[in-house]
Amino acid sequence: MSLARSTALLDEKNTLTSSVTDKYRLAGKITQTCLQHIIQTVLTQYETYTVGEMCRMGDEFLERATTAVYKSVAEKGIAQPVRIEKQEFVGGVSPENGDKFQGGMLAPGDLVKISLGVYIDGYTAQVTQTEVVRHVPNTSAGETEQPLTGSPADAVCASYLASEAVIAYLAQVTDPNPGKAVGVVTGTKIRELVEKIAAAYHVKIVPGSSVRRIRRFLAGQHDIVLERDYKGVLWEVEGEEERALHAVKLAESEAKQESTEGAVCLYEQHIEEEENFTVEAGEAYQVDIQMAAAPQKGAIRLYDFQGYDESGTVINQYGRDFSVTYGLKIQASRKLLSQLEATTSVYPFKLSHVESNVAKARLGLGEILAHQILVPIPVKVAKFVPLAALYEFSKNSKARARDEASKAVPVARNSSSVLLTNDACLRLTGGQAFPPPYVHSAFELPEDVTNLLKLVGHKHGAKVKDVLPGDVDMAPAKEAKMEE
Amino acid sequence: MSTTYTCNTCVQQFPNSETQREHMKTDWHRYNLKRKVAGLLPIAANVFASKVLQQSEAVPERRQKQITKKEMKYQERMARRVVRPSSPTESQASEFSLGYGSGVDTPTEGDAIHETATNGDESSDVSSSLSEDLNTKLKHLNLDEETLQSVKHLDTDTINKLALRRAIPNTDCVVCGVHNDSVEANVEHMTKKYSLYIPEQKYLTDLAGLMSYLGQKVGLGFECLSCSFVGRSLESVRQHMLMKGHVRIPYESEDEKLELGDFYDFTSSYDKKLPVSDAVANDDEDWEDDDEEINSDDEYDDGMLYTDETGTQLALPSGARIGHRSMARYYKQSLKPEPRDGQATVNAVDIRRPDVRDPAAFREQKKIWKEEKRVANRKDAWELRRNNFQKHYRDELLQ
Repeated sequence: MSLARSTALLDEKNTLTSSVTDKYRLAGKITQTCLQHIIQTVLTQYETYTVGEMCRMGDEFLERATTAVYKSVAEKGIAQPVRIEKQEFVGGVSPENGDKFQGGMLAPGDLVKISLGVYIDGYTAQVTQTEVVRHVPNTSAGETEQPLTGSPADAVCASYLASEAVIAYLAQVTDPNPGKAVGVVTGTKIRELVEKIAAAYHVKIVPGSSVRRIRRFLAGQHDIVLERDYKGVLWEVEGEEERALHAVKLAESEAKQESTEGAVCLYEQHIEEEENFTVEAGEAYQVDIQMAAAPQKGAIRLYDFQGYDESGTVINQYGRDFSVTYGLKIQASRKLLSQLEATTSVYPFKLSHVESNVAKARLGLGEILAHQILVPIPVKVAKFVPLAALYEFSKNSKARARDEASKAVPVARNSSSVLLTNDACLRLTGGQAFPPPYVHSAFELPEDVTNLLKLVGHKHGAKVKDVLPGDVDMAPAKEAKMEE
Repeated sequence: MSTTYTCNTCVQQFPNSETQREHMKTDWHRYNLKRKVAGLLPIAANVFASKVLQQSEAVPERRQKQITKKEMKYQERMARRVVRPSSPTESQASEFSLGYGSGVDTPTEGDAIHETATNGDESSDVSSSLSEDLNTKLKHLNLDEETLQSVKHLDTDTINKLALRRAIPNTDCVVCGVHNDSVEANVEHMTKKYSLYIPEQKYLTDLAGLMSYLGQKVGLGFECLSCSFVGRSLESVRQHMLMKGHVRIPYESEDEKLELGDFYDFTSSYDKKLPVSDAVANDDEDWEDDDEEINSDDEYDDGMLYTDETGTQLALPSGARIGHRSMARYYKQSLKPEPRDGQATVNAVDIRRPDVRDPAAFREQKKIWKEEKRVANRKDAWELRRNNFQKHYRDELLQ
């Protein structure tokens, strides 16, 4: 590809002009409206519909809403098929019609994370909101609504407050007097901020959490691409474990009164080098924070979900790897790939969005997956591994013992897209339209974080403007094809 | 046993052989024989008599000396011998036709063969006295003085011959001589009966002229419409055309097209800006259809025939573009479509792709690889030398 085109795509198209902001804003509005509908459905009708049905309803909404807008734009649609993940599930739960795993049954007290996203001409808005399923209280019988308490409540609080704090911190870039309140906004400080809040609420940051710059078509939709000029803070599984073990080693050395000079954590070195970026006005960011309750020392590991009957890895979504070119041999595979070329972009997708007959699409899938043209995005569950088990594993590499010691923990997640325009921080998704669920935590926020949150909305300080859900134009519903 | 004498041809019975023999000698019987040969039923004696009476009334004075076939041939041969050296075959004949009261205002009625026969009678009649003949003929031809001078050297046979020729008017069928009401009706008749096809009717401007030209070609030149055959008479050329299926207007080669060029007007198909030259327009096989080239936001107006600046692309009024054969290899290649923005963006940032590498860093990396390789090679060479640590050669087998 020519240098001119790549410069145009990466630099010129990412300048926040009014037309670009309009597209972001519209994507945000559609996302917010869909999220509002789904939250309402989940909270009031979780007994009527299964998780899979609610996901598919959301997908149809997004499909129709994006079809109706920007008729001239070719690349628009669903950036994140609607995912509804309860408790310990952390990724990829968007079941197809007819799948065995339909997302599990929702029960009162469950944490439910609803994720979805929309892109218009590559400008992406994604959102994740955590809700708590509960009984609708019968007020006539004198019942009052009870807040959720305990470690899941801590996770909900921590993830909500951490994402709000990070957005408040990012918004400081748009301050009329930049750097006056908090100084230069850097990646290192973002990491410090999030980890401080996690420590205050005695929860662990779930690997996969990130605060990253998003660009046109590059919204962190999946981790297939290794991005050049990447700006972002990312919590990785191995890294977090390494840090935990490194802390143990340091403690051991101190106990033996040895010098700790030579002991260096490679992961921390990597963080220092990679995450020392500066956030600037004119950029867009995705703040995606996941927290899990962790009663003791240890780390969170992500495991592929094998289904309730242990039948095998459950995969609902796929991503395309464009760096792979391979001449497919099987007719069905070639047909599926040409359908993919026509219907999908760089975002994750469900097979039913490509071919209405999913069984037919799966015919050609094997060869495509075998040659990594498509990369599966499996359903994952978060499990807490105690530090003792991790330490044992580092000594004898017995993975099975470690995995048996692990325990599934509920995860809370909050994700928002923000635009840092020159005069204000435009929050595309989340925000005041979606208040946090009714929970009580025993812990309190550190004072400096509270001060940071107070900075936003101050008379002379940075402002955060929310994109609110509203009426969106809808294309007419597609008529269901008759199956023979 | 009574014997009956009959004539099966005329369906007659006779009492004795004499009457039968007499009957066989009559014109009536001969006429019926001819009818039989022609597949017709015999006619009665009274009918025959009335026919004979009718015929004798219609042409009493024309019953003169019948010119024989042999004589006709001789005359034609003589005429050709004279005409050839001065080569006035076609053009002169047509010139005469113009002087001959244009032929259009003397439509021939009835059988054309009969007509020419009568003409022949007329000329043979006059040929008896030469001087008288020449004067009357020339008077008849109504030529001016100048033409008279040029004609003077021709001998009487040629004159006779020319007098035989008469342009077929454009309302008469060229093949059967049937008279039609109008030129269009005539064309329709010929199209229906002889499948005559008139080429490029869209651009034909002078149909009457074209039909007159065909009439002159056949009637004056005794020339076949489609081949170079020249008949000895109108009948011969007509028979030739019918037998060979040559009742058609050839319109393939350059010469054939130019021959009819006067009756056509192709200017409506030319472009005002950049007209396609005739040579290019006719050179059909050098152009290849190329539908992919259709471009809506083109600088040219649609509905015109034109070539682009390089002369390798021809645009049709329909909007289709035709590329030149010399460019065929470029039109034939099926290039991979340019990736859409999403894929292109991802490709541009994906550091796993070799083409996204920073060129400066890659050059540095190559230098390092080169140096590493050099060092490794030197080490290998050094080790090779060191491998031979024996001071003197010792054969292992002898130990």
